[in-house]
Amino acid sequence: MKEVNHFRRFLLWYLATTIPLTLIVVLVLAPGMPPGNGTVQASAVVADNTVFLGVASVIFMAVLVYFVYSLIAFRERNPSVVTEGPAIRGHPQIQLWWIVVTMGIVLFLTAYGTIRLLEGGSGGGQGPNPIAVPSPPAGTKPLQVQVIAQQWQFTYRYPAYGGVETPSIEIPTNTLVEFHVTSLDVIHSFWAYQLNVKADANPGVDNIAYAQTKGPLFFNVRCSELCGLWHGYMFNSGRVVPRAQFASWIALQQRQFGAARRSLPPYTRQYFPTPLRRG
Amino acid sequence: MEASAPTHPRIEPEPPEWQPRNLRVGVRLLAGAEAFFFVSFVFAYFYLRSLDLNRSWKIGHVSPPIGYGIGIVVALVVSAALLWLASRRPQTALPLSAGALALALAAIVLQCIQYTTLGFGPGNGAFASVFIGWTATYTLFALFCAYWIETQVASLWRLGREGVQRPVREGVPTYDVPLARAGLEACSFFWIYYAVLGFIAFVILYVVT
Amino acid sequence: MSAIAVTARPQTPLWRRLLGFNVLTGIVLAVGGYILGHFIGDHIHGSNLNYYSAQAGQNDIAIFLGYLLGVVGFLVGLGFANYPLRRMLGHPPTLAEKESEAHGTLRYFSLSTDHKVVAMQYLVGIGFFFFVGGLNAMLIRTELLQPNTHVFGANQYLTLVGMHGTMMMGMMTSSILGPFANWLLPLMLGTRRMAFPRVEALTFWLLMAAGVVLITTVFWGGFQTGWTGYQPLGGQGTAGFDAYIGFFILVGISMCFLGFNLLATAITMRGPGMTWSRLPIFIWGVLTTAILMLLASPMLAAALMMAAMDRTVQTTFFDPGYGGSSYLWQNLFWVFGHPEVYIVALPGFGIVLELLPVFTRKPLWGYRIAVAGMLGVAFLSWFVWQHHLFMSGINADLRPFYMLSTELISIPTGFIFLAAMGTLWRGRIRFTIPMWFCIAWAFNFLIGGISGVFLSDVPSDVLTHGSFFSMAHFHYTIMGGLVFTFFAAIYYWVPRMTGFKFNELLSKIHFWSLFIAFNATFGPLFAVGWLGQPRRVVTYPAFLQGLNIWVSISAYVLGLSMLVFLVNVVWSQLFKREPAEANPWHSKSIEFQLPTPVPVHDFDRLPAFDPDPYPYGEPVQVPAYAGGGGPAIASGGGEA
Ligand SMILES: [Cu+2]
Repeated sequence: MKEVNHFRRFLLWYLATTIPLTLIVVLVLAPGMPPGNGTVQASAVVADNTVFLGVASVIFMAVLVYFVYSLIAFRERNPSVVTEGPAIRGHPQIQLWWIVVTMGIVLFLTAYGTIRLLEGGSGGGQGPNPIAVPSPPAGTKPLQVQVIAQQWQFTYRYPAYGGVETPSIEIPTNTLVEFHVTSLDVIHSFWAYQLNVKADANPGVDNIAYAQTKGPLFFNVRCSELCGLWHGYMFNSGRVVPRAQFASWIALQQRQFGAARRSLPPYTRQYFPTPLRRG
Repeated sequence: MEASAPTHPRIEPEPPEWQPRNLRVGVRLLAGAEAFFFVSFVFAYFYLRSLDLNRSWKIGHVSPPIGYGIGIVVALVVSAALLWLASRRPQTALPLSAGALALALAAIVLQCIQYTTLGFGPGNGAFASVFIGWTATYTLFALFCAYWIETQVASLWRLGREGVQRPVREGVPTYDVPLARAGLEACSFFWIYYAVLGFIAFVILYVVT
Repeated sequence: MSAIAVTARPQTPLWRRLLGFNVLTGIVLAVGGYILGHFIGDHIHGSNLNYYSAQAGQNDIAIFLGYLLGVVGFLVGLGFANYPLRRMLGHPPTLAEKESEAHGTLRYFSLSTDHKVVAMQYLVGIGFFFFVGGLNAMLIRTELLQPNTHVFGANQYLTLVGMHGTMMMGMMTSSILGPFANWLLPLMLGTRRMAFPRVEALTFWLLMAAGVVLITTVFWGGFQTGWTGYQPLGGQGTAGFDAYIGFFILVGISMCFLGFNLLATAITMRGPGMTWSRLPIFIWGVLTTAILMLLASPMLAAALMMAAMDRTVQTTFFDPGYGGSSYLWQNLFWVFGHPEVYIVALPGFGIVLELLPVFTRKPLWGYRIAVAGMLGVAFLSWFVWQHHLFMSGINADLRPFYMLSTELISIPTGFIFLAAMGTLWRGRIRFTIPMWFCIAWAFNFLIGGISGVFLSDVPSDVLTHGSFFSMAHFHYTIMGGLVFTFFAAIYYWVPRMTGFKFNELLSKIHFWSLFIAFNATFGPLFAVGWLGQPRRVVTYPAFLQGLNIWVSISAYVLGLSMLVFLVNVVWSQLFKREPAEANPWHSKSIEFQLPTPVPVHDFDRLPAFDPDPYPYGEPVQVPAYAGGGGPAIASGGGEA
């Protein structure tokens, strides 16, 4: 009888704290969290994080309130005397329910993650043969941009524009951008924060990630895999601009870097860092 | 920090079967660890082979001389068989285990000679790297095994010369024939196991390539 | 602590006692060995063997040989070669129980095979390197006070990051198994020793050699890879990376043999009545860890061997131009690295579940499910490693599988929480310092576990991967999970081990300042990562400076809290010693029933075990540890 009482009180504490907290998290805090709504992928991660934060607050509060309640309710009121508690050694039904509930949560999180991942790749690097390819906005073609990482800078090649290689990146609005991330030396990682794109750059590997732009946007690019001495300085920024502006920008790049392009190797998906066929 | 004397004058010895069992259990645990070590090389082999990045699985003509490979693996297998016989036949254990030791050392020497006549270097692609890395670490551990076999040979030799001693020190039996026996069995178990690993390496590195 | 023998020894002068096999001789021979190795390396180093290092003018072969012979010299100086050489001459095997060249305090500076001495050596040795690693963290936070470099250059900063991570992940891995499992496992199992006492000593001294090797990296310009040592970046490194390789190989050997020894002991040397289902839960935590240590560290050693060969004899395991692959290192490293993460977490589970029954005066709730949880974690930890490669483009179609396996591991982890929560229910909870640390573990590990969801689910991992979010996550699980339980174990068992109690006030200050500073440090780092600061960068956007300053100041408080602990140890264990009660916690576990100090031979008679491993709760039971032919425990036992 006493036990029922404790459990009911715990439950009341739990519901009283968790329901408002979860509502605040899900409805107020999470939707406004970074990285914002600049691209479809960024919006997706904000939505996913809202779901996860909701689940997290429900679980977190359950354990936290349980601990706080137990520590208060079951504290030894007279520590100078050693009294023994009840010799309870387990409860098969509680254990069974615990397994069922945690299994349910786990399967939900995995299923949710898998579905969301397969919908549009979530902006993560998918290797040379992507399985989750988002469909481009009606009437547009995907734009390929190759991201070439090397110690310690990113450059970008636009195969659709003669393979021009630029030190900065601009992409048009309302376009599906297909990033081909590769490296010339060590492992880097291309993290375009506001686009919510992250793909490791491995030497000799073509790692594909997608971002579907919406309106104009400024975004930061950072290397997020330790790549040596100046890793901390390996960042630049880019812009999502309207199509007309993009066209004039890329034309400018072609004029500016056209001469340099002739001395570059031909466009390829994989570059190897060292000369072939050593002795 | 004062010395504390045992309250009871006599300290109960621990069960004599513990240490032989320790050897039996320990050698199997070591075998597990060893397997995981070489699994890394197996993984590197098949991963790099399937990847064949830049078509550099083999650069140039890379094929290790198989004569040495056969020689090494035969020496290993015969050596393991001799040690197994030694652990089974206490009367002839000394010559058998000495033969096992000689063959183990022969395998190591053969491997070293092979390195001088490979015809390719470690930089000739992924296969060359895996071949040299795998055989070199295998040979290194084989050297430790050879030490282990040597201790068994030396023990058998001294046992034959001085007979059984059984002093009891600090409540623990320090030397016992069952313990020597368990030591030899553990050694032979591990050496047989290691020879099997060597045979697998031979198949993968020379036959499959 | 008790001296080795009862017989009085004639007083010999100190310098005479210092001659012989001890750490001093070890250091001398280590230096000699290093010089010899370097000398040999210089001579076998052909001009064709300096592929990576031609420009740097360094000779990796000489460095590696120097380290190798240095470590060999160190071990020979300690006396590790004596027994193997005797065996080579055919002398009979001896068990070497409680064997030591030295006596008194000098035992702690020489090869000792008394499991209690090795445990104390581990505790102090690991504690030292823990403080070195912690100091690195303080320096890292100093650099991050400003968004641009100001105190250290980029190279020094990355070296600090690498040394902090490597030191902590390499050394602290053994921080519970080294001291506490070595001390407790034989006692709890009812034996007097580990299965292989010399191997036990070897694991400790290898770890110390490893720590020194890692510190020497500063002489070669440090290394820039962090603790993960990613290739081919590591291949570019100066000889500082050789120190990293040497360190981790030594740590790998040490860990492998530590696990090997603990497992062999537990499988073979359990006293009468100590069946598998009666093992204290701490032992289960130790054994599951030991399995992972035994099997995972060889893979690390193999990967490091490949890296070392790439740097010396020109193999090309990780060089994509010649058929190697950067993925190969990532895979091998994380197949080791993810079990490693649970090697760090599992002993903590064991300690919490071992201590909670004592301080709630209840039997452990759900013993079997707790054991299942530990075994489940140990098993599943082998199948999750590619979540470290979610963004790397390898096996992208397997990501749902790794998502599932990673999420699944929270189920057995949940069993541990269930057991802890069940034990609290209707207990008689006593708030002691060790209990506070256990409660803090629950809080920290809960946050660590839940934040793991954001990393294990690929869609949210795109944002958090490789950022300070993941760094905060693993500090919550490793520091919040391991270091807090490490301290719980220290406050709980060290008075038993040394015979002196800790200062109560300093202990309380330590706990509360540590707990608050820890959360103030790592909580905001979730936000820092979420807002876009990658790990291991020396620069960050200016708008994050406020948060970073807050974190740095909290980290300093955390460091001060550790200093309080250090003062506490020095004060209460060395200067103002107060004898500890034999059983201040009213524990019913066997190690608290032994006399103080614990005799060299632990038990006069080997104990037989009561059927009940957790005899707490109503009705009150007195544990019975009776050996054949009389009580196992000499004196001071048997309290209710
Ligand atoms: Cu980079």
